[in-house]
Amino acid sequence: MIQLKNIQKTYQSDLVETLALNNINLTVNEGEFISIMGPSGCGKSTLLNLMGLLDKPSEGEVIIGGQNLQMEKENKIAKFRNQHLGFIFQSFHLIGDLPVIDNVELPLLYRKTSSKERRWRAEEALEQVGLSHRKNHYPNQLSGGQRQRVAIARAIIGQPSIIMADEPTGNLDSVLGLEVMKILMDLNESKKVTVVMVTHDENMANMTHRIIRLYDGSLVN
Amino acid sequence: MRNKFYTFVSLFGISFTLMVLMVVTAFLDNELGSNRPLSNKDDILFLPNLEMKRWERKTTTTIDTIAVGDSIKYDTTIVETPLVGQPYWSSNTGLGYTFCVEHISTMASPALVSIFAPGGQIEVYPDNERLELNASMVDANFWLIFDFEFIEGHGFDESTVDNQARSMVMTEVAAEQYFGHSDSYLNREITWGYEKYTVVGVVAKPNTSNFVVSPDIFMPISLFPDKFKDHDLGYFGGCNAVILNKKGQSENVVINELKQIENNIEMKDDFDILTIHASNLVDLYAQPLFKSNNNRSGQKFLWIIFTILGLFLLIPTINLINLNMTRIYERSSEIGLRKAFGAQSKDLLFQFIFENMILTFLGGIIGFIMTLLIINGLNEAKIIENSHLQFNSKIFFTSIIITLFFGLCSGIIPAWRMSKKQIASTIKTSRI
Ligand SMILES: Nc1ncnc2c1ncn2[C@@H]1O[C@H](COP(=O)(O)OP(=O)(O)OP(=O)(O)O)[C@@H](O)[C@H]1O
Ligand SMILES: [Mg+2]
Repeated sequence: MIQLKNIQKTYQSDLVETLALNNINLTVNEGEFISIMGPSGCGKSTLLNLMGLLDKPSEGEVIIGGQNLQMEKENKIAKFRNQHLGFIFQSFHLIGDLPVIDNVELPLLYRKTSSKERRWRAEEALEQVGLSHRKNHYPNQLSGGQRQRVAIARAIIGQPSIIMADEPTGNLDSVLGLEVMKILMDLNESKKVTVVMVTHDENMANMTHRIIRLYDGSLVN
Repeated sequence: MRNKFYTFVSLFGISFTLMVLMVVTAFLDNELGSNRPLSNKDDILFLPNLEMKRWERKTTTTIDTIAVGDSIKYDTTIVETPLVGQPYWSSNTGLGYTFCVEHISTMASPALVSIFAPGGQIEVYPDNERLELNASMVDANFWLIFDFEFIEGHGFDESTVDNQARSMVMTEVAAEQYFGHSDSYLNREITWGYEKYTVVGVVAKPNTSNFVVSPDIFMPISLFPDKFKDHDLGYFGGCNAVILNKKGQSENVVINELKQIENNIEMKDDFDILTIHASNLVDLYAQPLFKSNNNRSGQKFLWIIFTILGLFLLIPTINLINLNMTRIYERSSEIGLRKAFGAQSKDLLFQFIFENMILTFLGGIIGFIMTLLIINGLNEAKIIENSHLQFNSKIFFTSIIITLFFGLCSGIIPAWRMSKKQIASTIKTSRI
């Protein structure tokens, strides 16, 4: 369960102060698949980053699985992310110098896992996204849809309980986007993974359990 | 692609810097390291020259008038008082043989003293072709103090020297020049002037350019004509002395005994003061470079060399840090990504330092190969006379340490700064 209590986020740049999120209260239940929608610049990514512990709110609390980690050391938060959270981004964020299989293994590098186990779990994850046959390719040898599927394999290899996906289909055409969507829905149904997805696409959003709408940093009902 | 370019530039910079460092290390080690025949260099003091001075004198003439009966008698006394510290004239040249025998060889503090007459050019005519060789006249102790690498035969013993045997020790290079290539040169004869000399020993040519050990030919000092051994002035002569200090004994003990000799020795030829200049290997090397009379400038020389080396290392290190910053900055989205998936700052720190070490090591290997090529080139071109650079394991390990240091220094700062970057801002952009 993810709980956001009275969240406020301001970005402080040299001269201007941007209020990106204002008084957000939100609960995402375990096993839920929600989508966040709203116009560009309304604070969707900011919200997702806070929920994913990639950033800290200016005010308010983020509680995941009953734990409030805000005050903890960076290392402890990193460990928590590593074990409980998976991320998918709009731009795929694969490492170009590494073959697909190594990209997928990445989260396990920061856990105590033998290289053998890393390998078979990466192969398993690639199997789930239907890319076993591309494991030795490099990211730039893959299509956009394939890249995003590699990114999904990377997000699920650590068997996280929550996946944060920021416009996972934003760079894909509707057919490929639907494919990615199917994988996420399947994960949610069969593995009971909580999914929080930012999207601009009403059709995709309608496939999820609940739609959260943001406008100018605030939630609208 | 940009990253590849930066990597290449870094690699080139590292290779080049390390190459220069390795060549300098090789050079210093060959010239000033304790390699044969200078394995004892830390216990050796060279006495290449003596200085004798005569002070300016103030003459006071006193005239006394004494009345003797009717006439007056004048009594003139002339008193000369030396003006200490104002040299009237001074002379600085080699040591007299007799002086060495009487005062240096009899010293209590050294383990061994050798007296020799340093290299002079001689001409020999193998097959009627003129060949110039550098010859030194040495005693038996010379071969005990300097551990030459004998390929054949041996140095002179006491009796060879005492009997004025016409013997020679020569370097293998010189032997080959004179006799042509052969497996053995032992007991062959060299004609110099009207005399024949027998080869009793063949030594490997030392790598250092030190004038004491670098001559081509050595002969017994007893063959050195008396008129050259001692000059007719002061304690001067055509000789040098070398003192081997006792193992573990401070150099100061020897220096103090030399001071005592200076103080107690009876002056002659109107000189007022005698100074014996003692230098170690590095001093001897530094002196002509500084063109100074200071016989202990070795320390200063080493300071200058190491300061220059330090600066030399500093500039590329700063450059490399900058390059590494750019290189790592290009990868900030990768850093953000790794952090999102649980990498801790220390993981990233290790990763980047490790990567930089690999890069530095590659640079080290390339630099090492370039060094071997350069050393070879320098030796072929004979840029530095009498000096032959050779790479050995000591230089190799020094280079490895330099390389590691370089890698650590240039990797740590950028890696640390990048590992501290905020995640959210780094994952905004990615091309793949
Ligand atoms: N690092 C930052 N510094 C300053 N302002 C920022 C920063 N990141 C985001 N903002 C501002 O915060 C607001 C919300 O940004 P955010 O990226 O969350 O929007 P978004 O809803 O994800 O938009 P989009 O749909 O275009 O991705 C915007 O006005 C943006 O300019
Ligand atoms: Mg966004």
